[in-house]
Amino acid sequence: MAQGRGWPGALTGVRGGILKISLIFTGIYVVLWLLPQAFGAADYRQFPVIGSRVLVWCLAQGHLMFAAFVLGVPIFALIAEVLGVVSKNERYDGLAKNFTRLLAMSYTITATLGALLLVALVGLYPRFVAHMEKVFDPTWGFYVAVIFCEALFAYLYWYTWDLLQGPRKHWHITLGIMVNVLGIAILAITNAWTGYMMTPGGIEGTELGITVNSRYDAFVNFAWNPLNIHRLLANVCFGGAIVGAYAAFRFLAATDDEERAEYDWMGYIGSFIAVAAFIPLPFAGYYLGLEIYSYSQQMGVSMMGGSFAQLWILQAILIGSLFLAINLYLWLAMGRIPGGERYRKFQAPVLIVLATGLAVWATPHTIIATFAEMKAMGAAHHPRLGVLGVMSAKNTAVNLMILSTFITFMLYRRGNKLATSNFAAAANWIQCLAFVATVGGIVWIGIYGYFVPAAVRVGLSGYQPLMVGAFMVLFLAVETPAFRGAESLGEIRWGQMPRVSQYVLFFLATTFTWLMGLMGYIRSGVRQHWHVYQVMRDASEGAYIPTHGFATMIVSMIVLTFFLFVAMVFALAMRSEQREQQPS
Amino acid sequence: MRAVFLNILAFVIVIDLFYMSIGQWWLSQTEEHPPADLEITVDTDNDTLVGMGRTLLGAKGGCLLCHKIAEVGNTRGPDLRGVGARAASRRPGMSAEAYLVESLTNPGAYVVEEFAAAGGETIMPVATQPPADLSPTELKALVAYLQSLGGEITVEITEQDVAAAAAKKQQPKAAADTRPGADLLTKHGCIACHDIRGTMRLVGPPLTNVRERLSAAEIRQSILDPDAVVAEGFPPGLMLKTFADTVPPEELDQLVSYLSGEVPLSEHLSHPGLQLAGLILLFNGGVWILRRLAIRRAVAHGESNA
Repeated sequence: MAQGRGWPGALTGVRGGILKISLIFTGIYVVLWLLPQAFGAADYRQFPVIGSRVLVWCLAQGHLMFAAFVLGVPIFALIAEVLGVVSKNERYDGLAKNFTRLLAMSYTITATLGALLLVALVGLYPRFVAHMEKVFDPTWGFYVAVIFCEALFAYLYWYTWDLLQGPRKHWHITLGIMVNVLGIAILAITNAWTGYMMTPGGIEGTELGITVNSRYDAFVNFAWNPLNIHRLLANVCFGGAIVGAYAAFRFLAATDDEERAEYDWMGYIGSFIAVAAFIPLPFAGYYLGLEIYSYSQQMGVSMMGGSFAQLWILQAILIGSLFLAINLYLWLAMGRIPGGERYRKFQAPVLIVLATGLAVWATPHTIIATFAEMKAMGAAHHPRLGVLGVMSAKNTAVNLMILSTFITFMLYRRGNKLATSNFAAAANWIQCLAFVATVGGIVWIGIYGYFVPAAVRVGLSGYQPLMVGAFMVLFLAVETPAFRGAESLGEIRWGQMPRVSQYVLFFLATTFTWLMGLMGYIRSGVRQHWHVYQVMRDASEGAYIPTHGFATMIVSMIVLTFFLFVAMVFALAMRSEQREQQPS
Repeated sequence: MRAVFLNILAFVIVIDLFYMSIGQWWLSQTEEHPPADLEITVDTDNDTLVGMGRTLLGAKGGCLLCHKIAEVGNTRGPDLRGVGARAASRRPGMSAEAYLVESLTNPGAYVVEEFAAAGGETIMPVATQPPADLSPTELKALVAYLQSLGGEITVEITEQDVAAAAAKKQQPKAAADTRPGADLLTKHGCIACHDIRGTMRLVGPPLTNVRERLSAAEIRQSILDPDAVVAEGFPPGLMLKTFADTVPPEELDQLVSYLSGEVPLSEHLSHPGLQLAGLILLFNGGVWILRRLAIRRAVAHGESNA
């Protein structure tokens, strides 16, 4: 990736990027034009060996993962860049540039996977595509135009990084804002399509015999906004995790302490971004679930208590593992902070809360059990452990896990600081009392939930995250003045992290990717044998819910393939950096 | 570097396989297929009907997601044990059969008190609409099963039920013609009188070879004023003269274009290929111009410096 050759050099890079996108779109158009000539009319066509459903599944999920990465990274790259300007610390600018370095190649992979997905859908599911065309035809051209704009601004953002420094920095930040605005527009358009498939609106009739009454209602369907919020947060979270993995790779491959220190810091920032976006994610997921239930009780029940119920056990294990890994990373990181050893005594209680929370979260309640299983348990759920499977217990567990992780992070921040203000002792008491009150409130609501009707219980579940949020705000409000002018016990020894900590960052990235793959399957699968829920039936050979074993095997293959592509992106980013460092 | 890469790759594979193994060995392994169609006729006896109703209850109807029929089961909806007997006395003056049919087709009409959601509404979907989408015969089979739970079976399958079920099942089986205008032939009822597959003679002339017989203008005229020119071998006055009022102009253009194969200029201009070409030209051309300007400026700057 050439930089540093002035505007002609930058625009040569942009030209190359736009040309690549143009070639991909031209390729799609030619293939779509040839398809009807090559094959006769059909409702479905079968892809050899793996089948149409698995092919589209892999392409869609792979495309979505890279799309999440290329839409998530610019958000925090821009934030880091602005931080650099505000704090006048050039290190942040370098960090933002390092984040963005990973994007250029990822755009090409995202676009290529998107192109393959489109060709596969049109070629293998022509009837379904005809339905979607009828509803969303005007959005196609707009979508392509937005992609071109996004590519233009993204390549400009990258190639003009060194050109637009100093007094021209505000122009570069403007480019970053445009990249993000257009990225969010792409997200919103595609969410309208996927949301419509789950919770269609604005139409009358079924199959191809539909009349579009309101394109607005079809676009702004029930699932649209929850998907926007959920995916935006997830993209930031996922982007942070992959950036953390890149930093971990560079740390492990580093040949000197300076490089190790640089990538240790980058890994910390990447994981911090991932965790910050991860904490509100369960609540965004709750909102999405609520909208699904509002649209169709049956779809909601199938998702949570029917065909997909057991997959939530796996989801709980994945999220519980994430919490454990995040805390482990922070505790390991405290080893390089002088004074961090003072807080080691909190490790055991935090671990107990996280492990117990994971166990509760992974406890199933109502699942499709075999007759033998039910007979063995004596009921549809376990007579004693079953009480832990309901939402009252699970919400309590997840809120306590979030609270514990927040405390770990706050202790990490305190690591090398010794509060010397007069307010410090009082602040500590306020924080302790607030902590006890919050834990008490969360547990009380959890227990009270067992004694009230379901409708009241669902309403109560919103108060627990509110309590956690209020505690965080209060804690930080008290922490800031308490640690103003605090004595430093020494500088953070960046780079002096055990190597295992970098594997924890890879664990986070792999687990986040797995979580995305699994939740993507559940979200799509709840439509069961419908292309468009209750409007267009899926009459293809793949119109059934596969076994959990088969589904998780496909998710596993997608995750592995994704990481092979990611390895390619990492290698290209390193090569670009080496070229940049070579004297021209 | 290679060792680091291989170590990380091995680590990622181990984590990946660990999560996959949970799905392989810890979770239950059942496939869930779309419900199969049941053949219910007027001759189907009560025992068979009850058996079919039981199948529908667990599969297509999805009833057991919320109800139970044994000691163990779900409790989101009322326990169905003994419902056949209870149904007769739920609503005064209403027979058990009528009550059960109403509960399935209009579940909000009467909601058992302890199962009412906020505002006294019900969470139960209408059984004759998607996703269950039961046919009239399937509905009766399900009612027969529910009556068998402590009550007397009174339902009877009639010829009308069978005919209505057959009509409901009629989905387009042939490969879809997805070109714009193809679906309008169905929407405006053209296919009731005109053959579009070349397989039979109907009231009007076939549309399979219409583009060989008529120009786009003549097709448009034939739709708006059917008796202006009548196809040989077909009597005048048969075709409705209301299409000028009922077919919107935009759809009329699509129909004519579809039948004649002639694409009007406006459609050419809005062709996706042209739009894409326009975007490609705009963006590549724009960047090319900017780059040329930047090079020219850099050269001028270099010369002035020299």
